[in-house]
Amino acid sequence: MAIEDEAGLVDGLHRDDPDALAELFDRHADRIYNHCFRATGDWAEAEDAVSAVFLEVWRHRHRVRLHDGSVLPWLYGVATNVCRNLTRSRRRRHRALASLPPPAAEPDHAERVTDRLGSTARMREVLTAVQALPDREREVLALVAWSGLSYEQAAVALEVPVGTVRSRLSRARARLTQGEAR
Amino acid sequence: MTDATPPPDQPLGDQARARIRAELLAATREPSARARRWVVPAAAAASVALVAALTGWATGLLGGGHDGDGVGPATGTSATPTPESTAGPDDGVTPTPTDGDPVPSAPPTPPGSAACVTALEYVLRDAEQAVVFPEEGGGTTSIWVKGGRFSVCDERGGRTTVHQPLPIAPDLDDVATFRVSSRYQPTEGGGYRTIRLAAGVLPDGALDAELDVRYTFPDGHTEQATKITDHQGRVWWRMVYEYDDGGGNETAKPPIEVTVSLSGVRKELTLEWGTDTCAQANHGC
Repeated sequence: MAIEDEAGLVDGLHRDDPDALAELFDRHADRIYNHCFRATGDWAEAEDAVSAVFLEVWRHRHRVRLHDGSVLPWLYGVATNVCRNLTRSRRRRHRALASLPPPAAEPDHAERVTDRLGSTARMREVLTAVQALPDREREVLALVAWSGLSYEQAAVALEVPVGTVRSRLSRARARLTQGEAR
Repeated sequence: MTDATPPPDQPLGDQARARIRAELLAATREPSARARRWVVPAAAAASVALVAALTGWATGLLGGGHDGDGVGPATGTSATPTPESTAGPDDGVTPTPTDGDPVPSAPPTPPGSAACVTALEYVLRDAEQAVVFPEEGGGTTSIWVKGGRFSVCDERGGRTTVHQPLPIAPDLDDVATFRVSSRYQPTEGGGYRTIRLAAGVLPDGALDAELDVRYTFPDGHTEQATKITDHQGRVWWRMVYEYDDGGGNETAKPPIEVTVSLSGVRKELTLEWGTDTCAQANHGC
C-alpha cells in the first residue's frame, strides 16, 4: 500500500519498514537515475548508482530527514556522494584499463530500445564542457540548474549554507559564460 | 558561453527498475534463518554422501526422503520425484556429459585475467579464481571465490561480464540461484545475438552425477549446464546459450524455464524477465 506523504515514508524507514524503501524507490528512482547519468555520462553506470544510492538510504535509514516535507534534498545529497565516488572509481578503473585493448562497442538492450546513444554523447559533451569547473561548483550546477532543486534544497543536499550555494553557482555560471570551463 | 545544457531526462528501464527493486528488497531482509530445504546440515550431508557413494543410495539431501517434512516447494516452484533416467527434457538438448559420467576436473587453473580482476574490483574485490570452464562459443567463463560467496566472470566478444555474487551454499529452491545474465551482441548484419549465462555450485554433500540443470528458452531450445570440479573438489556448473531472439519486447515472450534435478527429485523454476534475467553486476541489461 502506498504511503501517502513523505513524512509517513520517513517514519516507515525509521521503523525499518522495507515497504517504505520500495515506495521511496518507486517515487524517486527516475530522478536519481537522471541525476547520476548527468554526473557520469553513462546510463549503465547511472543504473548501478541508483542501486547504490537506495542501498545507502537503507543503510542510513535512521538518519533520513525531511526538508520542507520532502525527502528529495537528502536523497540528492546521498546521490551526489555516491556518484562522486563512482566517478572517481571510474577514473581509477579507466587508468587501470588503459593498457588493455579496448572492448568492442556494445550498446545494451535499453539503448537498443530507446536509442540512448545520442543522449550519452550529448551528456559527455556537456561534462567535457564543465570539467574544468571545481567539483563543488559542478555539483551545485548539477543540483540547481540540471535537477531543478532550489537553493535551499541544494544547500541541504550538500550540507552547506544557502549563501555558499548561491556563490558557487554564480561562479560556475561566470566561468561558463567566459568560456573558462573549456 | 559554454553550452552546458544536458539532454532530456529518460525513465529508468522496466527491467532495470525491476532488478534494482528486487535487489533492494532482498537487501532489506534479515539473513535467512530458515532451514535449507534441499540440504541438511553440512555434517549430516557429508555423512549421507559418504554412505551414498558407497552404497549407491542417493538419499538425505531432501531432508530424509519424500515425506515432505519441511521440504515443501517454494512459491513458483514444483518438486516431483522422478527416476534419474528421466531427469529432464531431451528435445534439443545440447550434448553434454551423460548423466552419471564423472565430472571432469579442471585443468590447472591459469592466472586470472586482468579484465576479470578489474571487473570484480567493485563486485567481489580480492576474489580468487577457483576454476575456468573450457572455452566454448568463443568465450571463457571463470568462477571467482571470496569467503562464502562467488561470482562469475565471462569474457567473450571483447566484453567482460561479471555476475552479482551468490553464496557458495546454494539454495536450490531460490530462483535467484539460477538467474541468468543477458547480453545483446551486435552482429555484422546489424542484428543482435542474445547471450544468456548462469553458473552455480553443487551443494555440499551432493554427488556429482546427482545434479542436472537445464534451461529452456523462448525459442524452444534446452541447454544443459556443464560441470567441472575445482582443485578443492567443489563441483561448479555453467550454462551459456547464444541465440537470435528475434528482437521485440522479450517480456512478452514465454519465460525462461529452469529444470533442476537433484538426487532424482526434479524442480521447475520460472525466471521472471528483468528480475531474474539481469544477473550481471558491471553493465546494464
